[in-house]
Amino acid sequence: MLFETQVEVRANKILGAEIFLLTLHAPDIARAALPGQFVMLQASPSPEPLLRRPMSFCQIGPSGSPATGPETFRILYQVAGSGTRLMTRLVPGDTLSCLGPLGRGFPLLPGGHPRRVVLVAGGIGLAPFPFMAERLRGSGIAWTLLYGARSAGQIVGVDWFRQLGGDPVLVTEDGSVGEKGFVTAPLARMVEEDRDGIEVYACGPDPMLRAVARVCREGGVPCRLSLEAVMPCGFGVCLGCGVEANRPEGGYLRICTDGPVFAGEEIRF
Amino acid sequence: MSAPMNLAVKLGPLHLKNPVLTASGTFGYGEEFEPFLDLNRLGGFVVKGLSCRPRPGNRSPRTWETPAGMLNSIGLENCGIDRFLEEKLPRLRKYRTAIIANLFGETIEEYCEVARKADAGEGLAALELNISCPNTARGGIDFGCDPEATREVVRAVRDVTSLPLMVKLTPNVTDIRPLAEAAQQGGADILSLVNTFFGMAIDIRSRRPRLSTRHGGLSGPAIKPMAIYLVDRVRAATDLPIVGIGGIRSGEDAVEFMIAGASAVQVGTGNFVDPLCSVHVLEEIETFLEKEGIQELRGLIGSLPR
Ligand SMILES: Cc1cc2nc3c(=O)[nH]c(=O)nc-3n(C[C@H](O)[C@H](O)[C@H](O)COP(=O)(O)OP(=O)(O)OC[C@H]3O[C@@H](n4cnc5c(N)ncnc54)[C@H](O)[C@@H]3O)c2cc1C
Ligand SMILES: Cc1cc2nc3c(=O)[nH]c(=O)nc-3n(C[C@H](O)[C@H](O)[C@H](O)COP(=O)(O)O)c2cc1C
Ligand code: FES
Repeated sequence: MLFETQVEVRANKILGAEIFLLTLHAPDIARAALPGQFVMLQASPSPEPLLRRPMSFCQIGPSGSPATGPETFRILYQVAGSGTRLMTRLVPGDTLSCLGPLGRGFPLLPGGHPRRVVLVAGGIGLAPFPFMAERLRGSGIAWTLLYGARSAGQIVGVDWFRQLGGDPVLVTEDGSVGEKGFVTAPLARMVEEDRDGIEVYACGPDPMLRAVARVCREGGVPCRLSLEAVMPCGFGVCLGCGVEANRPEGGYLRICTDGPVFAGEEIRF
Repeated sequence: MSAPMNLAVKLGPLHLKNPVLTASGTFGYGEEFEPFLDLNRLGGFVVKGLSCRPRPGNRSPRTWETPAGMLNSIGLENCGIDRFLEEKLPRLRKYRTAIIANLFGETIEEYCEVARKADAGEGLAALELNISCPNTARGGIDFGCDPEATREVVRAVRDVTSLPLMVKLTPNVTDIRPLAEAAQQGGADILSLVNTFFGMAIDIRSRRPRLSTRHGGLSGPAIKPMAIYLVDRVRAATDLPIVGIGGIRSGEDAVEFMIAGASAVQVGTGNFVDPLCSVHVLEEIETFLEKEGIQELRGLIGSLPR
């Protein structure tokens, strides 16, 4: 079920270097959401900017009571340009139009019988994983988070994962926290040690996703990648968000409706 | 509650129950909007541009947002006329609204082939010809930028179809009037305008174009004043019914086009911002007429003194 509704801002907190957590009241959307799916959110109560911004579900709930189910969801966002800059000015009580849940998220249960799902996040690509980790824990599936960022200031939300019983592996490009370098280094080690026991879910910038896809391909480990693109509509009509399909007849897949999460072998990028 | 207002309009041979259509390339094949709105509410909808054979479209990035608008270079990706007729159209026939096929080609023969097939398809109310396409036989200059080519292609298509024929004009010309006249001489029943304006954006850090194709087409509220200007110019050059297109997001935008001379409108980019935009435009036109005490659309259309 898909909803086009007005959502109310409940909170908008700064968490790190230009990284914010936005809480929105939208029971219909919150109840229908799945990890890896997204909403198209108006960035500001004013008519500018024209297009809505795609934003992933970061956390759902907490619910008012078990009977009513969740009523709110959270978005973790980073200032990237004019629209996300405007989002930082949102205050409780503001209303925005919102369309969602959209797209195909991560599989709730991994495909084969892996012992562990490895979540690989690059920067703000962390956004879908608190919700994902919570669902995996609910299904009794083991998970590990590998979380890379430029520097310590961009690392947020580590406690969420600790509360879910995880011990995130942190990597920064400048070494200010955790291991120095890129997330693909610890990923390559895990693939090396346990190639039959893991499946990888990744979200982050394109260069990181390409590197993750390569490590997984070479190690024979299945991977799911959450892709990004400029998305004018988010529901499959503008054809603005194509990614090349990895199939003999060629052509493009729509990131918004065929994705945003794809199996590594579905796409050529 | 007053009696429902009669918003029916006649565009030459094409009769619409209301003047709100959706624009090609912004409404998919119609079915994508089924979760959001009752397609029967619309005066009609124009489907994604169709060609003889399927087209994969351009490489990404294909879109970029600009102030009050967006650039696109989708590259006319579509499933091809055959698949549209076999798979999409049969499902759409149940709707009591005008389904309009938007067609394009790269040669006159291709335009005729796709039009002949569309003409044989059951359930189409009209054809809209997109002539903002490079004419390969004439060194790639768009059909719609050349009055001679416009006349020729419209005449050739006119000969292979008896459906109402709408010709969609490009704004990328110095003077639109000779093109409007050429389309009329070729046998167009209706003129729709405008298609997107050529535009470009550059990433100043990487110093590369934002679109993979370097240039693209600009749409959205940013183009509305230019589109209204062109409706005013075309109205002075022909007496064919006009369908106004360009940046329409509200009933008031639509009314502005109608006062300028448009008998109907198409909502384009607005559908991306709000999938219910077309229905809101319709409701707001009704509200406007009621508030202003206008009984019939005829009192509005072309009411701007010439
Ligand atoms: C499925 C999906 C989920 C996303 N989830 C999140 C999230 O949870 N948190 C978060 O911070 N960001 C997320 N993003 C990226 C986010 O949508 C962009 O950073 C944002 O749209 C930038 O808007 P802006 O106005 O600040 O930037 P500007 O550069 O001013 O935007 C100009 C245009 O480009 C688009 N754009 C620019 N950068 C991107 C980008 N990287 N990806 C997509 N569109 C872009 C904008 O939407 C806008 O149309 C997601 C993207 C997608 C596709
Ligand atoms: C993403 C996109 C795809 C389009 N595809 C087509 C098309 O296939 N055929 C066509 O005639 N016009 C196409 N158009 C042009 C629109 O139908 C319309 O003429 C234009 O966008 C101006 O209206 P607007 O400002 O309301 O969007 C497209 C426009 C956009 C934004
Ligand atoms: S964003 Fe419009 S089709 Fe994907």
